[in-house]
Amino acid sequence: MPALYVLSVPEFQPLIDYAEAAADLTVTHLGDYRKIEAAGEITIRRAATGLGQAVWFGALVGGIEGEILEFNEKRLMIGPNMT
Amino acid sequence: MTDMPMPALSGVHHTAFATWKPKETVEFYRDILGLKPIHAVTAKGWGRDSHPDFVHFFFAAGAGSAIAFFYYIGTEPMAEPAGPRGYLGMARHTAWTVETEAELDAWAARLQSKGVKVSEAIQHEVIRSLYFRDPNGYPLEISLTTRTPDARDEADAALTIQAMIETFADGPGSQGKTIEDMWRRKGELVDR
Repeated sequence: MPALYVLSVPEFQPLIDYAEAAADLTVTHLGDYRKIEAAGEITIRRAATGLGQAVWFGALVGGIEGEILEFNEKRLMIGPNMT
Repeated sequence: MTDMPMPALSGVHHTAFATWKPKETVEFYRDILGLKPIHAVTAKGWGRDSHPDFVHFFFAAGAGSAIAFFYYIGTEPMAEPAGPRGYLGMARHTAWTVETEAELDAWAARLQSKGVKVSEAIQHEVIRSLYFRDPNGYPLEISLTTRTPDARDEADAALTIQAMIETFADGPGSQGKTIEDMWRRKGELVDR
């Protein structure tokens, strides 16, 4: 299952808030991180999170599980591992 | 064998750069950035025949540190002392700190009023920054800390650095590894 690990700090909180409210995403606590998962693909539009570009492009620092299908200023998509 | 105690480093004393524009450099750092010249060294050579005569001048950069320049008299100017334009030329830069949003805004206004091309304020994770260049092309930054990094950030940075080192070898090649590989390794470190 694809996952995005997000450090729970104020600047990434809008991303965590978005994921907690999104019907297709689940968020679990993992120490200082939040693990965002989806059954199929994780799809997050930057506009829906309200993150500025510099923070958005740094938002994967917590790590991932799976394959990045798309990551640009508009959208992040992470799919399951292909191997 | 006993380990020697770790000696302390207590701040940046100065950093130094070459310049072939001594007048413009002084006018920029002293008159636009308001940094006081505090020391100057002049020397005829430095022991070796090939060493040019020079003026080495220092500006107080705040909090006890200084920024300094070498003007190597009679030498051919480097075409791009800061390095090539683009990300490589931005890597080695100097960032000052300010304490309030109002000061950051005031710097943006001052630089613009003095004809210095300055970026919009960019919000990063823990700092908000203005970017501009000095007359030599050296990239400069003024930053406001918007959140002081804490133990969470320190622990996270340690894992990122571990993932980086485990993913990439030193040197020009990265053995086909990508940042995605590094992020996957980081995810494993976070989730174990």
